[in-house]
Amino acid sequence: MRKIFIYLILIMFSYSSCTKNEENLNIDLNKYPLDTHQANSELDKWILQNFNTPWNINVVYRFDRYYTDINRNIAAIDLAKVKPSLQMVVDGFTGPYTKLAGEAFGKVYFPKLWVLYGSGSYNSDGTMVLGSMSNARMLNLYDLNNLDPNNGASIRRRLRTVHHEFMHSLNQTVPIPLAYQSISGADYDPSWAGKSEDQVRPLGFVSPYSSSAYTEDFAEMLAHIVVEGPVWYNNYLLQADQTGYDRLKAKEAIVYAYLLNNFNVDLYELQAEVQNTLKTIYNAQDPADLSTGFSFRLSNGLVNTITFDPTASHYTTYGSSAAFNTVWNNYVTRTTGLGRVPDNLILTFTSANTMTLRVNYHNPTSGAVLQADYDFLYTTNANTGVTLFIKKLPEGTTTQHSNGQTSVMLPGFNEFLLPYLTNNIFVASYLPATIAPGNPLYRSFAGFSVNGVSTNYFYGPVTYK
Amino acid sequence: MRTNLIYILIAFLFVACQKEATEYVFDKKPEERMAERNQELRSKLVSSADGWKVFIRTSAKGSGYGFYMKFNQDETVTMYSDWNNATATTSKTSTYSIRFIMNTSLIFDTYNYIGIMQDPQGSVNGGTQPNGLQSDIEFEYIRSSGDSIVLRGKKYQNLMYMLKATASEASEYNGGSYLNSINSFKNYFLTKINNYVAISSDGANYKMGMVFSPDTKTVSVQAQKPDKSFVSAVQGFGYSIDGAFFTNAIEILNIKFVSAKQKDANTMVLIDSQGKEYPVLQNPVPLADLIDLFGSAKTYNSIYVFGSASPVTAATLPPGVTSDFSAEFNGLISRFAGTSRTIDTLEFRLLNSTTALVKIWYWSGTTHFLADASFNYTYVDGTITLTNYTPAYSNANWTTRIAQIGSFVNWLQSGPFKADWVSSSIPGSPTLAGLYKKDQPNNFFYGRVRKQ
Repeated sequence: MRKIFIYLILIMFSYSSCTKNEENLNIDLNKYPLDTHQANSELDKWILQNFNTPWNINVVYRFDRYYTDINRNIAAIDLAKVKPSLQMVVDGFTGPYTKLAGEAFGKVYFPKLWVLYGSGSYNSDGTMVLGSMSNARMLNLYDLNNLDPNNGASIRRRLRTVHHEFMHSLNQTVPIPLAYQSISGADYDPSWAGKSEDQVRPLGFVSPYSSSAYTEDFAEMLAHIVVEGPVWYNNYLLQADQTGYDRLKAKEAIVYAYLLNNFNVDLYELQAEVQNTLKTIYNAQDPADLSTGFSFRLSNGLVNTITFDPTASHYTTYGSSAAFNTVWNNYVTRTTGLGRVPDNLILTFTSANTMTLRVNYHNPTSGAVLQADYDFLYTTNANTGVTLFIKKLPEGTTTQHSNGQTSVMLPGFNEFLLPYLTNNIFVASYLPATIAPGNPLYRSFAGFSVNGVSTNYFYGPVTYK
Repeated sequence: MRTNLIYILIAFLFVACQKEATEYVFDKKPEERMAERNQELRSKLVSSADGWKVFIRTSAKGSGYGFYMKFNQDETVTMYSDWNNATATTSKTSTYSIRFIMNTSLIFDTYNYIGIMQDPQGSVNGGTQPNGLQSDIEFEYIRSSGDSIVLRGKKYQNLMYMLKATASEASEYNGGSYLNSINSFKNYFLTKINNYVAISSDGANYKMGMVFSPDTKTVSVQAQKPDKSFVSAVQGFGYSIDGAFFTNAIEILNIKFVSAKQKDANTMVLIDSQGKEYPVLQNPVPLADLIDLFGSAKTYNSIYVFGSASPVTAATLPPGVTSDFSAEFNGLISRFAGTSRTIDTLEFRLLNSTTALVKIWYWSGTTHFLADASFNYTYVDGTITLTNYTPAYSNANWTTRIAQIGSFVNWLQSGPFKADWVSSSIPGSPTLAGLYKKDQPNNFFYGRVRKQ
């Protein structure tokens, strides 16, 4: 028994000495060359203050191949672009979310590792990756050397990436509702490059990229609504057909509910905050509101009349077109020679594609005041305003239409007014150019200019339906 | 028996203890050696108070680029580059880091001039998206000596050479002289043609011609062996403060040229790996034989003289050359002038492998006319023989103007001719070639050469 005890002790000793050996092979991590940087520049202090301390976010701006696609060539970020890029994140991302959802939200959900690169990460098809999100933890931003803090569009483009990637981050925490992917169901197609908005809009996608997968679609919906803003989004909806519109609105509703129910963030409040940042800090400009554009109104049959009265004072104040005046004067001279004097013109847009041209005229002998009507068809492109007039036949049958066909009224019309209207391609817009946006009278005058010949135009006070 | 067991166990105990004394294959533990190697590169970089002259090669076109870098203790680096005029005169500061990734690595981890070549965007560097000029911003540490460091790009494997700068070189870089020396170097090779260095190798003497291409940042060299075969090499170069550094040594005829040094506006030398200097000289005529360059499908196919079109002036033979042909030429010009016609171009062209053309372009009033004639030719051993004179090749003007062309026709038929370079006494004269009468070597038609 005692000897067994001795054996045991000896065996124990031998093991203990073996343990010692292993110690020698241990790496002394105090001496291991860690990949740490000196971080005492002003920039590093600023990052510490604005990211590490409040959010526990580590910002990696010094190039590291191992945080991105290892086989790609990606440029490092320029030192001078680091702070503007991060300031954009503070202004347009962490700020708005914190204001709406409170500090606790960001401490939990903001990705904890942000990696910045100077150039895009290029795909083999020529497109490039602007951002990526991994495991709700690492958010990569690319192409930041081309960021221009004085250019609202440049900020908007990159801020959209931030919001897009963050939505992936939230999706990696709370999955996208199942109902979402069935809305555009079979229309998702990974090869999105080369597609245009016009191609994907009828399918209910907010951008070509969103047509690539439902996860991208979800992130793109949020990013576009929040960062591109209500004007852009409404324009997009206005250009959609019924299917596209319905799908976009259905998706919007799911995105809204997702954010509100899971994170208590109101999509539209978030939109307002981000838009406020973009406009007050970065002077971002919204696109022109399509719904208030003259061509949009005209093409949708929302315009009532445009009146041309050559004696009106606004032609003195804001000018008139010599080319059109020649046409009008020739018409007046011709018709006066036949015994009737044209006074003014009224274009009445009776529907989205029909227009009646009324000539108010008088008989100088009898003093009678009369009207002559001529019916036209028209088409207007809602975006470009390009408008074509075609004579509608047969002519109407009212008294005014019959007046137009009399031997005193018809020759002048056929020789001057008809060819002017039907032989030219016009652009419908708010005219004259001298009444610019900002002028109280803007949008109270409208008219048509010959496409490509800005000096050949006619306009007058416009009334809407 | 039991005692034996105890001994055995005791023996085991010692065996185990002996393990403790394991020797390292290398002298220290890996983490210590990693840290040491990192520290070696770091202190080396920072130790040069006057910074480093740095040269890299890019893979896309083999182009070389030159830099001047000053590494600071706080992980910042300030650099100039020969990328363009602005980068040569305005310094830019960024960060660098030294990390151990398989080997001690120097990483230019925020954007600086060296990032221009690595940038994937073709719009930045003229390279092909998405690989730019195929260069690196991560370099692994290969070796160093007292005044040089050699690193290698981690992706494209091109070597980066760092040469310690002197105080005076540092002040020249910082004082904006880099651009001046780049321009001076460019100007040397812009104004001097037919450059070569004389070298001896294996008992033979060679003239090694060289062409520096400032656009592609490459230098190509070529020499003809006694057996008429050629040896050649092309390497990239980056501008230095006093010349150019070849981003790979030019190895030719058992000599390794490593750099070019400009001593003053008109003095240039190549330097080999042994430090020996080879002065750059200019040959009065191109180094290659004309027959290797002149032919219907070769570099040149036309010898021509010209005047100007606006205002119209008559063609003139290039100056600095004495040829009996000038009397014939002047007669031709004056006979045309006598009929109020001005010859502005006279050309001898090898149209294809069998037909040669003589073309006379002339103005009459404001109209430009061509008179031409054709010959059959053979071109053997530098001798051109013209036969089968056929006037009026593309129109009837040659026949109409035959009185003014006059004795020139006879001259053309007085061959055979030897085609060869013509040397001019005017410095910087363009390359000239001529047709020498075999029997009267002082009587030759000559002019510039071109490909038509």
